[in-house]
Amino acid sequence: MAPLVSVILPVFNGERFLAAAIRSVYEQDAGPIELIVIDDGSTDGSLEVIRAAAPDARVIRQENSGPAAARNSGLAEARGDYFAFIDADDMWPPGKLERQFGVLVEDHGADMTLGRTRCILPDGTLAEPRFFMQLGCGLYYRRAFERAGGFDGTLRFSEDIDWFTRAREAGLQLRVTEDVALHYRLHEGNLTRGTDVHDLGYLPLVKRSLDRRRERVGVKPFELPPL
Amino acid sequence: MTQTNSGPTGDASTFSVSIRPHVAHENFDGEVIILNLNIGLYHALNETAGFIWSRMADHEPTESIVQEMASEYGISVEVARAMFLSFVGAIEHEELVDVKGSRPEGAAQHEGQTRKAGAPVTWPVMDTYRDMQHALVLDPIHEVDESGWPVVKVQKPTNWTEK
Repeated sequence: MAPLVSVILPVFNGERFLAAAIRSVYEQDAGPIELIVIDDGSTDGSLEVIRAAAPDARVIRQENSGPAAARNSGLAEARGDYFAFIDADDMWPPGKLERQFGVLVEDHGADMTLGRTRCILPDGTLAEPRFFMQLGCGLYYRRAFERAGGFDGTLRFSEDIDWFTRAREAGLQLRVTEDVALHYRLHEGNLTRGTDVHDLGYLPLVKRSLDRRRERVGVKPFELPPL
Repeated sequence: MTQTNSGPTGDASTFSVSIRPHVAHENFDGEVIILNLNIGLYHALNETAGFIWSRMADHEPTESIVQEMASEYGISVEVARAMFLSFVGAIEHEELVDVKGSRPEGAAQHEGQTRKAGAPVTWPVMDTYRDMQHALVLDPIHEVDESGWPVVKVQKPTNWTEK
């Protein structure tokens, strides 16, 4: 029997592209899927879209808490052997899960795999594939989250980068492949948010990572071994 | 991780230095972290390097920084200037700043003299890390450029010019 994949989809007022995102999940051909949709306090028609497009999905409704907390709610409910993530405005290309299953089965040491991302430009065309370190282009063993923990619910931005940082610190192994594993939609709703590096919180994220590693290895600053 | 503590040397009074627009930085309780958004490298400064960088970010003239270093650490102005120029060379090498002006020869010897004398001040050191390169330079949650791919910007670039 094929292993179960828990697909975690947080949504906050994302009715516009949500049905397409859900459809791209159900069109995967990789065995049983458990779709967990976290309605993070939406006030638009997102819930109706979920009920129409994914009547079998497990729906968690909560007060608006941000994507990190929403994904944590999904993680707490997930029963699968594998985890995958998709946002309400993105899409998975056909065959994504099947290809990434193959990668993890073949590479016994890998805890997760990431493929390439193609941005869906505002005019609907697809940009050339590039590698972005983000959640939606990956497939993860459950053990990856058991070892690295969940997302930092206090972060408004860059909670995914923070998680990848902690995953590396925890010694998790990542296999990166050339295949396209995510279509990331650029639209007016996300083009204007987090455009400044200070908003994104990169610098505190880097500082926290350095401090964690210094504390862990017990060395003075500037004697830190690379990851 | 690599360490950089050497670079061009000379008379700081002829310099003009500008922190480049793609460089973000923050002082965390005395430790300065610098992020090069063009290539995704980040840098951690020791106390002396952070002393210099923070004053550069505050637009202090080079010679004022050198004088402050001499006073703060109890060293000669010549040694302070050599340390300053060494650090400027390092951050220029990492493409964090633009440096203009000629640098006369001769100040490099001060580094050796300081160390041999066992001066209490630590030479400015910058550690460079490459381990988060993909994550920090390629996050797509940004504006797109003319090619359709996202770009990161620093809203308040810091420029510093010798007066």
